[in-house]
Amino acid sequence: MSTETISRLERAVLDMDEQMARTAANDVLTQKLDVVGAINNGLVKGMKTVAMKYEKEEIYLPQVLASANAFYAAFDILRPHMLAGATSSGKKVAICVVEGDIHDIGKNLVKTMIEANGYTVIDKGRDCPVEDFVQTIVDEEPHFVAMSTLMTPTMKSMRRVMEGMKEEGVRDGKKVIIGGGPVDAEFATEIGADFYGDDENEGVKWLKEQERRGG
Amino acid sequence: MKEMTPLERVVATIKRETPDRVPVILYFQSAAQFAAVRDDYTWQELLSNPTKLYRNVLQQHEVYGADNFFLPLDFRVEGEAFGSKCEYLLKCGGGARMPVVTQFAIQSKEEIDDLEIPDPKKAGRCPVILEAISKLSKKYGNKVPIVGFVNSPPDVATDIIKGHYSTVLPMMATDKPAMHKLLGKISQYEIEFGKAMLAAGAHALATVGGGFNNLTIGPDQFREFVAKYQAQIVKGVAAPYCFHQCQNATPFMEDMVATGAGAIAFHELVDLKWAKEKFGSKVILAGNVGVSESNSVMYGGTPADVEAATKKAIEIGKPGGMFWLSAGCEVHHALPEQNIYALIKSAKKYGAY
Repeated sequence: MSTETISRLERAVLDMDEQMARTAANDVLTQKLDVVGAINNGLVKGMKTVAMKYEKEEIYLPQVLASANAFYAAFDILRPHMLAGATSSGKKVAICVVEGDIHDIGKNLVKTMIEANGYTVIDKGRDCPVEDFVQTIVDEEPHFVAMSTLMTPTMKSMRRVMEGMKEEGVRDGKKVIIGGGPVDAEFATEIGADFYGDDENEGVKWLKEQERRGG
Repeated sequence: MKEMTPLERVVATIKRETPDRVPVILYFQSAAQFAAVRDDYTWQELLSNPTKLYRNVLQQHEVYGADNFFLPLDFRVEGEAFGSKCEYLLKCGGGARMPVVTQFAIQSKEEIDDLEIPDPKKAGRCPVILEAISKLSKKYGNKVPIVGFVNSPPDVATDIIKGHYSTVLPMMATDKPAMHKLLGKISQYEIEFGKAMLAAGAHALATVGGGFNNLTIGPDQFREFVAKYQAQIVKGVAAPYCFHQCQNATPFMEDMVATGAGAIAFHELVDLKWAKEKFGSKVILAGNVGVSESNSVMYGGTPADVEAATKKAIEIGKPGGMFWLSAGCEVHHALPEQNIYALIKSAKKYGAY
């Protein structure tokens, strides 16, 4: 494997350089390198460094999102060439910003990190109607359900999703994680969610822990 | 001491004199929905009709007893003025209560150069705001402060350029010249909009900085992209100004004070005692009874809890003056209405000098 090309993938993420990311991704294909290896050792490695810097407050969301853009610039080129399930456990995560809220930065960040760690993400976007999200959970049968909101008034939409899952008989066997400014672990317990994640790193750690436990 | 009018009360604090009691200054925004429901207005009707807006805003003082009027009630006015289009979601109770931008004025940063600075007397809903202010001024201009709301330039940017925060935040890291060009144009407009509101009868202006907070940006970015432009606006309008920053503004407070705003307001996550000690002699502090967090007293407490929290805030903020009792952020529609009454009633009960 060309370490130079892989290093460029990592560097593109760290430098927030979408063009460099696209060029390096195309080079991976031209050089017939192992796509999964390139993603893991280049793109994901870069994003992990970005996440670590973010956690230490060395950088903030502008840099993280710019790095995520570079990540996706390359990932979108490489994704069609991945062998199905090669990097993931096959676990699906349904995610949305709940009904009534349009703040999707945090959700997109979580999505990026989950995807970077090999999960398949069903992204229902922002201001997702409760009924639509519950129907997605019924139809797609994800292993994990993730919801976020940045506003106090829309916390009630999370509760309605939990109620909808029970009504539709799809609560059992699924782990539910919530996040966002106004919510906390106490609220997660109150509505019957399984976990409150303070940030994307904590969320990914929890997903992996659940998998390890066979969840 | 003789009872002052709300205007006399607030002016006294600005002049660093002792008022009869602590003023209650609120950002009454989505809680306008309570009155709108009683009056049977939709949000779109309320925000688009100067008479309906006027009648609604009147209630901030006449019904609830706040010492100020605050308008416009929503955040989309400037984005619309620049040419973005909004849709109104009718499911008020779910929180989707304000207009949401569905068509952005510009599709990419390459269009920033051609973005024209609108005329606040003609653009979007600005004429509605100006007319409502004029009506308020005729009735209350010599009694109650009218505060015109100027949205924070980076927040306005998210309403102008396609992609919302997902475009603007990365631009701050990867294309600063484009970001500054956009913020410069927005600030120019904000100065003119602010001046137009003052000319229509507003006594003061306020900015409620929302999305660019400690959860999204660091102190250097706050200084470069938020405070710098806020200072330009404060200087440009040359009027009494209150600058509120959402979420935990602790790392940004020095920069907020440096904008030159005469008052700064902040969320309940900021320690009021710390703020009073550090900044209480430099600027008026407005705060900060809990309203935003899931465990906030205004949201989840009883009126008795709100009274206790208000009393505590006044005990900290009142000594030495230069303090306005306020909620930690906007007074919103998910609050029990009796808690809004409790806040204001308690401020009057405990705020006397």
